[in-house]
Amino acid sequence: MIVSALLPPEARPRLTPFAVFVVVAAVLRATSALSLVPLLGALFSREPQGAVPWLGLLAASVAAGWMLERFLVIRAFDLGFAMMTSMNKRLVDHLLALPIGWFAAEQQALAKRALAGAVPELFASSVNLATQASIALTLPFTLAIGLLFVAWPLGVAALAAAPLLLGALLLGGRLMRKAEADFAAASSEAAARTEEFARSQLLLRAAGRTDAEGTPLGAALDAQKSKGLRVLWFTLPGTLLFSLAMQVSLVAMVTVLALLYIDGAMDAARTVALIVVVLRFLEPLNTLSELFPALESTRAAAGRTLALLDVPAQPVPKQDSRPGTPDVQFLNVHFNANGTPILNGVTFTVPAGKTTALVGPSGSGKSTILSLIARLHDVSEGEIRVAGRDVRAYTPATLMNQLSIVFQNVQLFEGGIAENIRLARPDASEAEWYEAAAAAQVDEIAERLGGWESPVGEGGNNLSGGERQRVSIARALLKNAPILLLDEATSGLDTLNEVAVATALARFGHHTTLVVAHRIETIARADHILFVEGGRIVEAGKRDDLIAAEGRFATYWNSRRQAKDWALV
Amino acid sequence: MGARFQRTMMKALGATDHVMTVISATNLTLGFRRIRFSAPTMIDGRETPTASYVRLWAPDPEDPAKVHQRGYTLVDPDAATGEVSFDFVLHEPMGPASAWAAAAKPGDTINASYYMFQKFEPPENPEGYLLMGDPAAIPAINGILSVLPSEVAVIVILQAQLPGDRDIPVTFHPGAQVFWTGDGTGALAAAVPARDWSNWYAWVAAEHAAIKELRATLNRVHGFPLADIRHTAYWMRGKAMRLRKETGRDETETTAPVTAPALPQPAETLQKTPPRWRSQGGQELLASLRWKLRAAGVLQAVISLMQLAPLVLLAELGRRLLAGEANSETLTPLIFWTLGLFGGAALLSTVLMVWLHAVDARFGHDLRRSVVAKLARLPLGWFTDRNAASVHQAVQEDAGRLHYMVTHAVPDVVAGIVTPLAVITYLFTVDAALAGLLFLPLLAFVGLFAHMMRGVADKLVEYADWTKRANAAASAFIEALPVVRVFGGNADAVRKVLNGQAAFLNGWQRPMAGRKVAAQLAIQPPAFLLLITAAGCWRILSGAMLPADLLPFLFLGTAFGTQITAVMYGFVPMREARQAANRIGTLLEAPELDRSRSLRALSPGSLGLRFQKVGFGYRPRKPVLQDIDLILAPGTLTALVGPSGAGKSTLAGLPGRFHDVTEGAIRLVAGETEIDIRDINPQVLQRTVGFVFQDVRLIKGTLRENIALSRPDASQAEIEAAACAAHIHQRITEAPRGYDSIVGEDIQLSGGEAQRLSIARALIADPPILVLDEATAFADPESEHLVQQALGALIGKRTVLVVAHRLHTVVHADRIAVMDRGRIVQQGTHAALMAEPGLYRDLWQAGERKTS
Repeated sequence: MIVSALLPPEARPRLTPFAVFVVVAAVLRATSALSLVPLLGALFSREPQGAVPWLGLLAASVAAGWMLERFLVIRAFDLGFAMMTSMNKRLVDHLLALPIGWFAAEQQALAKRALAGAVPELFASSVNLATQASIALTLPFTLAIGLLFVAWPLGVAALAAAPLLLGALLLGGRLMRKAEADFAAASSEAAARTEEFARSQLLLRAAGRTDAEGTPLGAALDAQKSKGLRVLWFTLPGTLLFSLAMQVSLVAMVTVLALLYIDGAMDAARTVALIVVVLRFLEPLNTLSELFPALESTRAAAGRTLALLDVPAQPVPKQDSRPGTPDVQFLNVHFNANGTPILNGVTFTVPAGKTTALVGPSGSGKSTILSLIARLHDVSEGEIRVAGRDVRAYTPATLMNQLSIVFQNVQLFEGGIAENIRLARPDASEAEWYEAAAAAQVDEIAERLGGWESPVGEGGNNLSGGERQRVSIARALLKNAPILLLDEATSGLDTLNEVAVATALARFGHHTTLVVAHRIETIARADHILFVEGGRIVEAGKRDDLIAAEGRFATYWNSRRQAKDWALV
Repeated sequence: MGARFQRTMMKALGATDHVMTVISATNLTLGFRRIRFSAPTMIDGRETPTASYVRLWAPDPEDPAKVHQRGYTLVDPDAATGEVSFDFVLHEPMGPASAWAAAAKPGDTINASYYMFQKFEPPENPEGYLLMGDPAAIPAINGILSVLPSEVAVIVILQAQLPGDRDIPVTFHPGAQVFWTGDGTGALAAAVPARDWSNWYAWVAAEHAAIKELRATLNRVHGFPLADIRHTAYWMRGKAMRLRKETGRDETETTAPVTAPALPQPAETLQKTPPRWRSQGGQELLASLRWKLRAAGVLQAVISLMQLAPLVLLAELGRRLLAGEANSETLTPLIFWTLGLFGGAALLSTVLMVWLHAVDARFGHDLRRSVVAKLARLPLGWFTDRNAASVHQAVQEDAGRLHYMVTHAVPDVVAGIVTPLAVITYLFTVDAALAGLLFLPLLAFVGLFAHMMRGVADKLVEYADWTKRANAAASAFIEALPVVRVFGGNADAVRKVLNGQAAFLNGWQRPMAGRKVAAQLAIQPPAFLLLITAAGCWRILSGAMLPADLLPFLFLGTAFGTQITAVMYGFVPMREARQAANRIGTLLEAPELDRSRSLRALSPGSLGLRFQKVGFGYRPRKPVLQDIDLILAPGTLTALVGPSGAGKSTLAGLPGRFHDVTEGAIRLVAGETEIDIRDINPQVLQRTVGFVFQDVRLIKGTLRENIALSRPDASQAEIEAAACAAHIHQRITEAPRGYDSIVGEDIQLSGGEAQRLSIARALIADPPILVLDEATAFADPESEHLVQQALGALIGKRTVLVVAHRLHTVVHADRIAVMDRGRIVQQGTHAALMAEPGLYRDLWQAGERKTS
């Protein structure tokens, strides 16, 4: 079932023939094992020549098995390859349709692991594991059924033993996994505490605390040690269970054979030959137990990948809407993230062609307001209108065509600076994009790095936070959409960054602009101010009016002015 | 013939073959010829690390059917043109390669092959580099000299096989001393001077026998652990240089008595302690486990044999059945023995597992404890981001690998060796001919596997490259998702990489899949079953074997192939564990803070600080700080300003002994007396010199614990007073459980709030001297002024050293020290500094120009 869900629909019909061929391969292997009964019977008799035709059967079934298994591996390769290519596309498509709010650090790691780790692993498993494991799983049953015809009591014993052995293998494996997971968790906790201890050395030494005794670190280290021993109570039954089941089965089946012999129901040669068959019966289970860790890891990878595809995507309307006058309206907007209310009934309008500033303490919800407009998340309640229509009524492309956005934490693509700016409008002329880049002070960065094509590093880490924001401003300038959303950087600010922000605001002077403002110069440029606190708009109006009202904004404004001219002594 | 076989084997194991065409040849000296080749298939943009070498296949001058191989170092590879040079030593009498090179003219071709280029990867920051070799090694040594940082110490010892060799150009390196020694196999080994070689790294390349001797000498006489010697044998005397014999010269030619070159003998030569390498720590770590693991191995061997015994008994049972001797009396003991052995093996296996887990739990615990204890003894300056990553690596990943080795890998490997060995030994006693045949499938496996691996080394590099690219592309895609959405991007970049990876895997693995399955089928039970039955039938029918002798083969022989290949997988975790132990060992060997003289206490009172001729560097010859003279009078504020990279933060850390100075001294000034900070008990020093940094660390615990960290006995009133002064009291009272709120659980502090909490903490600690990083960019601008006010309260009457990022915040400082490139270039008050031309005034003017 998991396998079928991993495959693209067009490849799914190919699973049934694959399964049929697996059964045939198992039957061939069973045939080669069972052909030993007449073969050895003849060989140990007075007429050993009688063994030769049976040897022919054995050779034929082994050779046919080889050809079939080779064929199966290539079929498995095809299926795995179809899975890999379709899964890559499905994952990327799906990730693009998920709300950005879903991507917390943990989910980000999950998505990365699925894309770059799980899919290649699933492919490798389909090539290296699938055929061998499925034959090993089928063989005990086909062999047991075959034994029914040769010596039915032994066949019954084998049919009873097969599920028992598989169950023991599975349960033992589970117990082992559980033990190892527990131990790994305790080790991770101890490691995390040790790393914290390392990072906090300055602090701990100043406090005279350099001993682990009696600290969370000491406790974690001790817990790790006792867990390490407790793990045994899972590990032991885990490993013993399967080997015990194997030995019990072997002894039971040999005893059945001994009884048949003593009863005179079977001659010595056949008895001996059947002991060999019994050993062949147990062999695939050994193979399975060796493959078990790999199979378990494959199953986990498949589970993670499918779970990712099950995360609900953002709904997209079938029919697009036409944008009207470029303004933005919030109508009683509520927004919760993971159960925590972030916005509690926000209503305001950003009039077309004016600059509106969002001001307020950190954590008040300013950046969330911007991301809701861009529909990086969907509101929990209420409505957001951009250019007269609900944001959910537009296709993503139409909505984004209305917006130029400068985020707080800007990610760049690994590649050149020029490339990073051009993506805002790939059809822009050379003069146009250069002009935008220069206006955002990016030319200075290009000069420092040694040219427009110089790489920005992974995620842009050759650039400072402020510099990355300048690149982002250049993108916004180049795109020149009717509405600008700007989240001013708080850290890594440098003079050129301030110039770039000022330029952007000036250029978009006659566009609709909503800016999350921190610096008093930026606040001063706004036509209208919205003061946000605790997820609500608590004050709104022109700057001078708000200052005169001596409310929250006035306090804020004054403290910002004091901070600007502060000196240490 | 030997070389030909070798070449076939190399290819079988994944090497690739390339044809190179001579472009030009120049004689650098009389006996040293550089030939430029066009080798577009080899120099095709792939990485060619320093001192990479290939094997050249030189034709035998007399017998064109023969080839001789010899290693040559890549010189000036140029990916754009696909060109590369090799340097040839033309000594008379010439070997085949030299003879070929001497006669080479443009248009000539020669073959070369290689697996993959190995990187020149010395351990981190060795004390120095010892590079040794014969003339053939000079190109590689030149390559290494050109990439070593200029401040490291290098000793180069070269062998002149002929007087003219001394003219071969050697790349200049400012820290290198170059010595020449005479000819002879033992000359290089004899030339290693006696000195303290602790933590040196040796790179040696010469003739095979010379290398063997040199390695042995370095290891036994000079103490070099083998892990710290990288060696390459380019050629073998008497093999490639076979011509020598024919000219009649004695192979073990007379070696001129070699005296060690007169090296300046450092003072440590009179060492009392044996030399020590960081890599030894890891070996010692494992040494404590050694006898236990050996005992476990022996026990596992016994268990493996006990598990096999019942199968032997079954074969015996079959034999009796066939002989018609079977009845309950003879069968019962056999069955009991079988059960007994099974039971015994299970019991012993349980004992072994319990014991190994107990050993591992104690070992892991001691290991983590020693890491923690080590961390507490390292200088504070050690704790950089990179070293924090090495702590993570040690306690998380590497400790896990060692756990796996102790509890799983050792028994697995032992079982993997003992089982097939016992099986084959037993079967040989039953029927040697049939037992010998069991190796046939193994041979087939090796052949098919080699066929599959042809050219795979190249592909593995490419595969690793695709994996890296896929990881990077996935990360970039996920992290940039908001931007991708905003610009309506279709994530083409990541799609392209993932599709490229898929296409690569398809192109590589599809043809391999069929070959791989063929190799596997050769060693799986059906193959052995068919072989045993067919060969057995034949031998029985021809009367060479008793029918009953076939039984042990059928019972024990069919799994032989899978058992023997299973061992190969067990060795990987063993090797990884050894590397893990080495990394942990290196961490445990990091130099500690010197406490040998730190005994003095301090009497309370106001304190000043004095930097006297202070110099500091992480490595000799690369000073970070030089000639620092600075006085911090008690109760004054001193600011450090200057361009980034000037050394401000390094200097600010020295009073807390983040690192110890390498020159001069830092003294605490208490009235008339001055005490070197290295003479003070470190704990006392940490309480005397306080630090407040931008990067705030909160411990997991309550707000109260965080504030009262340095004085857990502080009263509630004291704590609240500090919190009030730091403007964080109000925020704390608003939290659900007030001062008892747990950081990160009950309350999330913003950057500015955490900063104010750390200021309250410093107020409680109340250090007489304070080092401050004036944070320019507060984590949240909204609380900037509160942080500023809190800082003002903290400074009070203390002696303060502040690293200032914004000049206008320190205009009123008592003293401003302007730093540039590790030195203090100007000192004085703001007014005085503005009055004179210099860096300070330039910095001010630059700042004003930008804002205007």
